[in-house]
Amino acid sequence: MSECDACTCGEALSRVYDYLDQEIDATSAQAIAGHLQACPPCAEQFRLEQMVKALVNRTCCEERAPEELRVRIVARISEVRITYRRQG
Amino acid sequence: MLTGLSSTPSVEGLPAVRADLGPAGIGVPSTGMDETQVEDASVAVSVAETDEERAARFERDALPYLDQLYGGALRMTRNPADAEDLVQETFVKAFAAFESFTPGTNLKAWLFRILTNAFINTYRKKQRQPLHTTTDDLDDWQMQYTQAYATGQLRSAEAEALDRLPNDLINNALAELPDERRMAVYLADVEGFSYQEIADIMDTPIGTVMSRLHRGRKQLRTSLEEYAISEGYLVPDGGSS
Repeated sequence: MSECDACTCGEALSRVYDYLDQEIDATSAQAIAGHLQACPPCAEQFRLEQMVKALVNRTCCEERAPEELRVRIVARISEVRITYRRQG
Repeated sequence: MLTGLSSTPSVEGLPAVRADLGPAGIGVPSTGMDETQVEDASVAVSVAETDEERAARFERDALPYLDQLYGGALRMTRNPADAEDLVQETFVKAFAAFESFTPGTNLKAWLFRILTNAFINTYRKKQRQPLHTTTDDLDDWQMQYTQAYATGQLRSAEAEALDRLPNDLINNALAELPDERRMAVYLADVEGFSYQEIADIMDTPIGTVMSRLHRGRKQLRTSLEEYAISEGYLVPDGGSS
């Protein structure tokens, strides 16, 4: 924890999501990456947040819309077109 | 361990978005088309396109997002029957408004905005479920994060334990989040939208998006830790690490 002073930890942790979401400028990202290399507790904390983000992504990529819904939507679009044409 | 961050886009690099966002206001230009081309395409479309051509273009461009919109609708409504109704309503509204969509801008974000509006304005009212009155404004979430860290909750085995959690437990934890937080987390972590895009989709200031994300993830992580302990994936160590 030699290079892990409170100020830098607080700064890194306050931007943990900005960093993981890549909503951060390159200079700040480099500064945080440097801090994480020097500070195992912060690195662990970032890893946990990254894990939660990955878990959400993992569970939510499985859904496929029912084929019947696709058919129904295409049919509804056709109906809307016909209605428009009659009005026009 | 933390990969892919060398190509971190700068916040300044995010596209500017009009303040008066209509449905077509999510204007993230696609790569390879400059503004002149987009304008030309738009003019060409409005002048020359027949109803049939527009319908064909809608089916070609918008319908491929069906699975993604259905996944989003499932997160919002939390049951398949309502999700189907919501997605169908979204596509009907999107088709009716498709003339106002500017070709070359972000169609996926445009569709998600319609989906989100339909959920908030139609579906949830119909369900008579009042809006959760969570205070997700700009506040002290940064302080809260540091405090959570200072109480020594982290355990070296935690990441491994979370990774072993079955998907249905994670889905349960997500479903327990208040709607706005769940949607923000979904839009960021599954669909990969930027904070600005989520702000446009949810029609809310970017600070509120960040607050919803922070609070949602914090709540989610607490739930997952509790699941991990109660299901025996993680042995609590009394907070001393």
